[in-house]
Amino acid sequence: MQIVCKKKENHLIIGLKGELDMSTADEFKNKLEEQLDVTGAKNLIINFAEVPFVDSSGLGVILGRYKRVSEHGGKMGVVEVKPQVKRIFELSGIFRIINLFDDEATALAHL
Amino acid sequence: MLTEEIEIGTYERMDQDDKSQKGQAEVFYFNRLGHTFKHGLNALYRSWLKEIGVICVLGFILARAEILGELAPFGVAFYAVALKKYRKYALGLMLSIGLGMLSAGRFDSGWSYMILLITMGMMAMPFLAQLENRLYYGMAIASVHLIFKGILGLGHTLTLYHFVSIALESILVLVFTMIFFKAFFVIENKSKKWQLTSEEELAIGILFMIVLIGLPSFKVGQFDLKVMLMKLIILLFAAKGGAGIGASVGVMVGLIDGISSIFTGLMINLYAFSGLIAGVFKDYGKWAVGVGFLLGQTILSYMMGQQGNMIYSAGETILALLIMQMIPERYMNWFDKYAQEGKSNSEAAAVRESNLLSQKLMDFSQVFVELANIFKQTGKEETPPGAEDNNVTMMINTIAGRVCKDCTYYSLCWEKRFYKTYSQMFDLFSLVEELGHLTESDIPEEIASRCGKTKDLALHISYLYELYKLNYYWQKKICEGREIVSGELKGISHIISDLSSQLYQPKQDRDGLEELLIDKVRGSGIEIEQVRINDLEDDHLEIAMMKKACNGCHECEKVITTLVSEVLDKRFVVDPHRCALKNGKNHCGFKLYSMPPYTVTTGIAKSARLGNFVSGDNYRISKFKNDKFAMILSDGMGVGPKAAVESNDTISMLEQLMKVGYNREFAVQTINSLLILRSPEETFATVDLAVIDLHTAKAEFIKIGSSPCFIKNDQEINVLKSTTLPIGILNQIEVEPVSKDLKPGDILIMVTDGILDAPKEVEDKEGWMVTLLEDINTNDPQMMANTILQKAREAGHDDDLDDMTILVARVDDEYLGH
Repeated sequence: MQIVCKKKENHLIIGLKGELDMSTADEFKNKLEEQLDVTGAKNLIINFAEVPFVDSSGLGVILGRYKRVSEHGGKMGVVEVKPQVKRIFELSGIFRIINLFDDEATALAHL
Repeated sequence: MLTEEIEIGTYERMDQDDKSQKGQAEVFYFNRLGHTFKHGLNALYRSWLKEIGVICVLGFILARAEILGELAPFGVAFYAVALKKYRKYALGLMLSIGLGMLSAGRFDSGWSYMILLITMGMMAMPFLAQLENRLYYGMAIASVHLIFKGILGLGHTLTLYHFVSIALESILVLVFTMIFFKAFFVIENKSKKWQLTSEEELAIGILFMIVLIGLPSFKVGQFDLKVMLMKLIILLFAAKGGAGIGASVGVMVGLIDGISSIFTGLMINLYAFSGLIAGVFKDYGKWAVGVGFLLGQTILSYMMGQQGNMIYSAGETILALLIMQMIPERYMNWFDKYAQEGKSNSEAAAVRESNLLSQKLMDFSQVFVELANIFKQTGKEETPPGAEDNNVTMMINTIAGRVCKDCTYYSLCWEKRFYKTYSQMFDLFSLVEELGHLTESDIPEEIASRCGKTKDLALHISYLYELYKLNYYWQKKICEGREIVSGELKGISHIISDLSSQLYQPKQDRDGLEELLIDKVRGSGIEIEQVRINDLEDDHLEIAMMKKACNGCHECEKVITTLVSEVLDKRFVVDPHRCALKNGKNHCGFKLYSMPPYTVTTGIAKSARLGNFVSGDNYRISKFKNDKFAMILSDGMGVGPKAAVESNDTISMLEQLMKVGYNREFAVQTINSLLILRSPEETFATVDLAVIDLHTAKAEFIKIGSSPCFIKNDQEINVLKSTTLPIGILNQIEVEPVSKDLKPGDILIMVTDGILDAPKEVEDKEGWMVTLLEDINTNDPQMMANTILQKAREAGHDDDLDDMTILVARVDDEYLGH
């Protein structure tokens, strides 16, 4: 799994490549925590353009980051989600708390 | 499981009561007698005789009664009481009491009594009527009696004996006036409680005794009808109450018989012994009771050398027995009912106590509600910091104090240009809020150009902002904690009030069902004695029965269960843990429980991710006491062993909470709170809960972040979805239970996401699952579960499969045997 991070204003934008499942969840979580600590960013945007699959441990990591970000008054968004991943997000109710955007620009504009 | 855990044991307790009652047989005898008599009198009182009739007849009989051969205080006492209540009947009363005196053969005192009564009647008008206090009234009456008798006695030679007996009689007048006041109170049914106090019972018992004494002894040839009546009473009580009651009623009747003539212990012995023997034969029918009575009487008469009277005495007994036989069962039952009512006084007390207790519990529950409200309010009042300007002002003051104080520009910035500086500082805080952190270069030119301590400023603002964020975080946590505690308190109050309503279940015969069951069972030739129906919950019934032991024929199982099942149109089973045979008694008490008409057959298949021994999935299948069948499936959202711990914790807590009576939604809320409180550790878990009521086949689903589940029957496959977040994320989760009526043959399939995600390339996972289910031909739950697991494995790649768990449940109609 590849993770690309960049910061724009107080937004941390994460680009992912590969499946977000049990084998990659821990790595993803550590990287995100580290980046949030270092940049001190308030909001978090994750790009799922190249993520074909997310399982429950992946969902756990996303929800965990939501908890952290929201506790500090930040917001979270996911962008460019593939249909099969979107279905998983829908089922888990994630869209009740995390915003879905078409692309990074829209996300930046709205968060 | 059901029958083991429910402990009510009504009849067990009754048995114990019997033992303790033996010591207090007299008390209970009074008790029963009091009730029987009270109801009889009440009925009479309301009939055509109404007041005057009953009172005059009572007066007549009571006036006849005398004790120790010559003391007859009852007529006067009764007259005094009746006069107080029914002055308009004074003349009638006076006549009947006077006639009673005369009829008892006391001609000399009869006339004198007439005069006494008239005097009292006249005096009562102006003077006595004003005496409200009963004791004073009684004393006045007794004094009048004493004086009058004294004056009358002057005509005769007044010996000390005479004087003492007149004095004694006057005292008795006082005593019985008091007693009759009490008795009147009961007869008029002014005491609305259906349970008499012991004082009232005693008063009624004494009145009854005196009536018996006062009854004229009609002799038909050699047979004394009064004696016969007494024997009948003993027989009735012996037949209903057994040896203990028989003996104590015997003592009572013997006492009456003895007291009214010259007191001897003989009659008491005779009646008590006969009553005892008669009662021993109670279980063998009425004839046997009669034979027992005769036996006792014969033995004792023979021993006491009264063989001469034996023939007549036996004749009286046989006559009494015949009368008892002639009393239709209906009236016997009436008698029985009142006797039972007396017996169940302790039960009434128990009901009252449990009522009281339940009220107490309700109060407790209210206390918890209040506590919860207080917590919630304090939680709301403290809005998170930052919202108010107070905080910013404080932070700006801190900056001014720490950074600028020693600066040479201090007076320029903070005195001359205060508002400008203030608003600039404010802007800096908005900036740090946006960036999260400030460095020297972030400070705008406008400020930097004037300020000589920009580095210090940036550092302090960043530091204060960090501090503020931390404060904000913890305050929010505290608020959350309060809210959670508030929720918990509410939950506890809920459980307590539930408990209280369970405790207080007023006994009520549901539409005469108990009577109907007794009739039905008796109709089949089984001597059933008592039936009591308890509503447990929903349609769940418990029927407690008391019957003669069948000595191991299992009438309860073979006959009664079928009968009851037919009458109530429900399947019943006998509580197998209680058989009278074990107790060695000739009575047995047992219980029937309504069997839920539906059963559930389950199948489970499970596999862990390749290379992992621990599955993140956990499931529980359990049947609760109230015939609810629950299947719970939880998927921990962490990785590996941690996920397993999450889901296992969730599931065992949920099961425990539901077991102790938390309602489902609230149980889920509670676990959510607990998982949140456990932070900083992150714990998320999905909950897939299905509860099937085995009485109605109604299923309730709670799905928290879980995969869809499927309901398959012959015609179609339904998909149940939810989009609720997993628990452990939000403070307040919306639990949205979905109900669905299942039919026999319906198959419920619950799966974790590992199954649905197995074919990764498929987009419509539910569609895939539906097709898969359509192709499965078996309706055996276990085979079905196995097949689904196998198909899911085939659809995915072996090295890429998540934990998978499948629960399958088929609803069966137990009655029809699916």
